Amino acid sequence: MSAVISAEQLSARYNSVDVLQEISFEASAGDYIGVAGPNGAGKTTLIKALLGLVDISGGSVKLFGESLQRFGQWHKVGYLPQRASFSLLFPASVKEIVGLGLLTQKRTPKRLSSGDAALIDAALELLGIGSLRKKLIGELSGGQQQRVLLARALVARPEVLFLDEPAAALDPQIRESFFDTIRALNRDARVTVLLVTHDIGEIGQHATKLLYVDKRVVFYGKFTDFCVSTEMTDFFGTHSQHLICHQHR
Amino acid sequence: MDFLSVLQFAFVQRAFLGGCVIAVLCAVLGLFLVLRKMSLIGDGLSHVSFGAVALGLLANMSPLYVALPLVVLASFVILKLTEKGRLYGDAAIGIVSALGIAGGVILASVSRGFNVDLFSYLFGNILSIGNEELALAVALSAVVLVVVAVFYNDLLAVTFDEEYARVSGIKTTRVNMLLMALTAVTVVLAIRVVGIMLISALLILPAATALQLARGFKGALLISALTAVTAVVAGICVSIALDLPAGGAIVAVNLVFFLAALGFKKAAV
Repeated sequence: MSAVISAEQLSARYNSVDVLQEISFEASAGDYIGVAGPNGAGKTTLIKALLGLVDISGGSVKLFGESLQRFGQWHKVGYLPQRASFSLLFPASVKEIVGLGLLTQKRTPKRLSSGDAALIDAALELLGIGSLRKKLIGELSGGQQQRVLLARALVARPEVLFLDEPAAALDPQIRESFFDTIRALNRDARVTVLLVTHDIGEIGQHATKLLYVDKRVVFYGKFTDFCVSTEMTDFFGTHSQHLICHQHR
Repeated sequence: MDFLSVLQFAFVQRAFLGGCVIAVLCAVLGLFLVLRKMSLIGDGLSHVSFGAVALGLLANMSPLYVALPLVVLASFVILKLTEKGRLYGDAAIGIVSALGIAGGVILASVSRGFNVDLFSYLFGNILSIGNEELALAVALSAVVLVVVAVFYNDLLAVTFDEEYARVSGIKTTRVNMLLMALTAVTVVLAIRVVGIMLISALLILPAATALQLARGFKGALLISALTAVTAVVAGICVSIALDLPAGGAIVAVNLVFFLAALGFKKAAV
């Protein structure tokens, strides 16, 4: 069975500076991968390169065994950007925004059906924001907006989720239930998750694998392997490695 | 002659019909443009149409037929400069806009004969719209509105979040080109209604009014269109009743609606 995500020698440059250097890794169905690294390590660029949102300078990406240039099964992909670039004046309701996540399955003219309305409601209920469905997106708090955008990513029931710093705007209580939701999707529906975070300790509690990047791949493997890796002890120091692994259960 | 009898003249009826149709177009496309922070593209393209109209007059051809392809081309140049030229949209609009004005001024200077005609395009005169122009306006408006209806969700998705739209499999470059082309056609058609100098007001004001009041995107489109049509009808009536230029009166009524919506929103909060 082919990998859900496959990156081979993936490189990217921005303003003549290498942002990603020959990154190679594969993710299989059901993997929950935490992508971590220091500031400026290229985590967000990596996610965008995997989705074809930035030009790459070398290497290749395959999603579900198909090269990115020819990939057309976008309904299998859910994406939550680090910072959505929408205007707070945008006069769209939460329901309309979440409905945009269903367009991947439609042919032109892309009309939503009453069945789609039920899917939208289900996604909103899953994230505990059913009561917000008629609110305008600009009327919501940052945390609520983030959950609306996650609902948009989940509404088409994707098989792989790309989440870029998804919990950054969430308060601690919501944060926990957010990670529980992602964990349940991964465990019960075998949704492959690639989650970017700067908090390696927190992701250690949820993900099963770690992809640590610093423009190149520093470590890729199971958290348990990370914890016994002497290379990683050299890289992080005993104290930091122990701290990270202590949080991983 | 009383006001009602004036309404029976064919040229007045043509003005109402043409004005309303073009107002709906401007209102619908204006909402997408305002939300994409591309409000001033109407200004930029109208300046290009100034050059194109001058070229049409110099070549003794119908200015609108010359302007249509040139303004559509200019809209694509703005898009490409923004995408590939590492420029912000306002700078790209500024470059193309300056080129249009410069071209128009040079052609007007060279010709020395059509400055009066060119002036009428600068400030518009909807009451002078002819049957052929009206037919063209109605036909093109119908095409633009059908295209917007067919690609409504694509346009909405790209306007809300272009990056996510790409991950949804939407060909965002094509959607952007479509929006640019539709805007260019609309700008050329709107020259007759308010003139080159005031086109951007017809694109921006109804949308800005709708953004104060709407509770959903479809509602915003509806409010924007209703506001624009009402402003055109009221503007033409004011223009006839007070013997004022129709273009200026239409924009003034639009401004009143916007201020009223702003006041209403402030009072409601």
